[in-house]
Amino acid sequence: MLDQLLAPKYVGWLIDGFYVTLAVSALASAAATVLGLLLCLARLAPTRWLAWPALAWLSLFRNTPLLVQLFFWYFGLAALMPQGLLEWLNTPHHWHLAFFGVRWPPFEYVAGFTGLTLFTAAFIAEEFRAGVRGVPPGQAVAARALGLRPWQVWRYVVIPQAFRIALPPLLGQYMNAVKNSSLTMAIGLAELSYASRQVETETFKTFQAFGIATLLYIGTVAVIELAGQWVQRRRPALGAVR
Amino acid sequence: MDFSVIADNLSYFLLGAWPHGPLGGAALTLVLSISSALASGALGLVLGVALATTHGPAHQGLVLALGFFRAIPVLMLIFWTYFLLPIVFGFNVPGTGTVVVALSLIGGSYLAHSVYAGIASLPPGQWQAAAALGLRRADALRHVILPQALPIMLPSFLNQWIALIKDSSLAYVIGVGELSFVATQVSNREMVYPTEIFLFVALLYFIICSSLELGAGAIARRYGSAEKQT
Amino acid sequence: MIRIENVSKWYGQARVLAGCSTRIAEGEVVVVCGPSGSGKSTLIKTINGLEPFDEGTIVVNGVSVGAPGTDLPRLRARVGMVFQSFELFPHLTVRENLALAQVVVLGRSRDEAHARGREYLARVGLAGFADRLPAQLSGGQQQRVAIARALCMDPVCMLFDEPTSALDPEMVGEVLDVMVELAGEGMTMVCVTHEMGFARKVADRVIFMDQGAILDDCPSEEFFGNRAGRPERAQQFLARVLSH
Ligand SMILES: Nc1ncnc2c1ncn2[C@@H]1O[C@H](COP(=O)(O)OP(=O)(O)O)[C@@H](O)[C@H]1O
Ligand SMILES: [Mg+2]
Repeated sequence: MLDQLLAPKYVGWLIDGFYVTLAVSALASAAATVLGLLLCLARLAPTRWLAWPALAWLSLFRNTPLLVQLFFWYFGLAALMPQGLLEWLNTPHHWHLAFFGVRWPPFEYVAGFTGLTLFTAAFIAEEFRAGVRGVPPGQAVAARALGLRPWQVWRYVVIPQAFRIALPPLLGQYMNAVKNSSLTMAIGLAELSYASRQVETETFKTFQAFGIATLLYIGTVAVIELAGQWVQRRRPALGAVR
Repeated sequence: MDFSVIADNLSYFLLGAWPHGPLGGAALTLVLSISSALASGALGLVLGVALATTHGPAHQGLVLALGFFRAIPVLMLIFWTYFLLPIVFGFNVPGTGTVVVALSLIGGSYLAHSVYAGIASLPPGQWQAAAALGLRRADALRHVILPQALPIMLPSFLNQWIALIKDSSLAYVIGVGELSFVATQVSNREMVYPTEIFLFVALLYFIICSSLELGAGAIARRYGSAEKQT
Repeated sequence: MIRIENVSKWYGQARVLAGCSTRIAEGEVVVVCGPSGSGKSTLIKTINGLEPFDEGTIVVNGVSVGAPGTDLPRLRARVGMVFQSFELFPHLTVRENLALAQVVVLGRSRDEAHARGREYLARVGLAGFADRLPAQLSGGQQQRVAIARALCMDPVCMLFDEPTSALDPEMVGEVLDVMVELAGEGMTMVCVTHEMGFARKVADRVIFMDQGAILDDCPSEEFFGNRAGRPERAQQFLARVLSH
């Protein structure tokens, strides 16, 4: 029975991988939310000089596989960069800011974060757009009637409401980011899926290795789901205004 | 940028080693996508109807099982099927089959919910009217409910299939020679043109996926305007 | 206070405003009525520039609305508007609904804005409701908050676009009471409404519109007292509205 268990060392690998998964997906989700909002605003801009490039950008990133995008950032971008910059990116760097030591991460982290962020942002932008469309047009008219300037109408009236409408699908995108972060193993990022495969090859305990990884993924997704339900329940619904 | 690497390997990108070897490249991506689209569609329809017609523990169990497939990364499911299918069937399952099973399970789980939502969106009066005419539940489903619900679901089917095409690239991890696998092969062999190669491969995926997306949009608009008229 | 001269507007081929002209003096209460689709909403929204127009001039409080350089947000901050569907901001409490534009448009401090909000909330009879969300109020209460929200901006005039049309009948009175009181205090008001009782009691003048044109524009005693002297379309309209 005991020899069915994974040695602590291998459990440690999985835990380390899990931390990387959490870190990469959390950072990418945060960055993608900001970028997604900007892309959504550009997409809805009255000038086509903003709206059309945004449309093309969104459609490009949504309609190509994340795996190919990651390969592009990891191999393709590296080939485009001047040799010196690539070497700098690939060597470890340390800075000391006050009490924190800041370390420049290896290139696969940068490429993985970039790829996951840009991919996720394209989907988040569409969720925001649906949220904006869900705000009744009369709201913006009423805000303008009070003398709010166009950016204030967005800032104080449209975006806060769009955010609330978009929250459930937004959380769905954060779950996707967690799941999609598994693809970064293809460019050598030592996240959870990578670790589970490594443990599997070392120990041949396939069930245990994949099982623990699967449970960790399900647990993370479940936590996001519960957090969403908690937020939804805690704040009163906007409800029908009439 | 030097795109001659694309021209030199064009047949390999599109067809793999075929006709001298196994089919691969973009053609295999299409084969993977179409088979898992069909299988996930059938699975989604059956499971969605099951969701709509079950109650109590059976329903809860189904929701939980579908939730499991939607909560794990496609990659992990490919690992699992790669590992478990030979145990279940007792013989070696080819990588292509493994991927199709994994993609169908995931796609089917998402589609089951769309089908369920589509059925639930119909007014309950439709079931009652069919019952009042003496139709059994199965007949009511087949002749009254599904014909109305399917057009509502069509856009989500197409969107799910777009996701399947993109997810088929994950076949790469178990060495199935589809488009993204072929791309890394060529990239590793040539060493010098990864930018051109991955741009080209992205373009191929983009063409396939965005034409489906345009189709989904057109259907949604057509259906939406039909709804307004009534 | 408000001068409208020869204002026309087209949607493509369709003319929705046809050479409308009128003047509204300070302290005057004017009711605009007419059949549905006659252009009442469009006209009233040109006054604060929410609807652009193609021809003519509108001058509000000395500011030309259609002139290219006009700072419309600044003008709108001084012209209150109340909508048929209330349009309270559902993500903000009543207090925040009242304070938002005071703070971000007029630059008042939060304390000042809240004090002003409390004052007007009491005036519309909703003193205890500051912390509610709009969805927790009845339609009549929401519309009274909307009026208070506009008053907090110290408007020089108020525009009402069918403020009672979306209300259940038993709530119409509470909103009209607030409007009557406001008129009594000398507020300049332009009200699109079918409440002829209100028009007869409070309005100084009645404007009748049909197919984008102002067909009748006269003191309310004249409008209600001399039915035979009205244009034919106005007579038909009055007969329909007053028959219930
Ligand atoms: N955005 C629009 N595009 C085209 N026609 C419009 C638009 N908005 C209003 N109209 C038309 O303008 C006319 C006047 O509308 P409105 O001012 O809302 O009338 P009222 O408020 O008197 O009912 C109507 O015939 C309406 O169909
Ligand atoms: Mg109107």
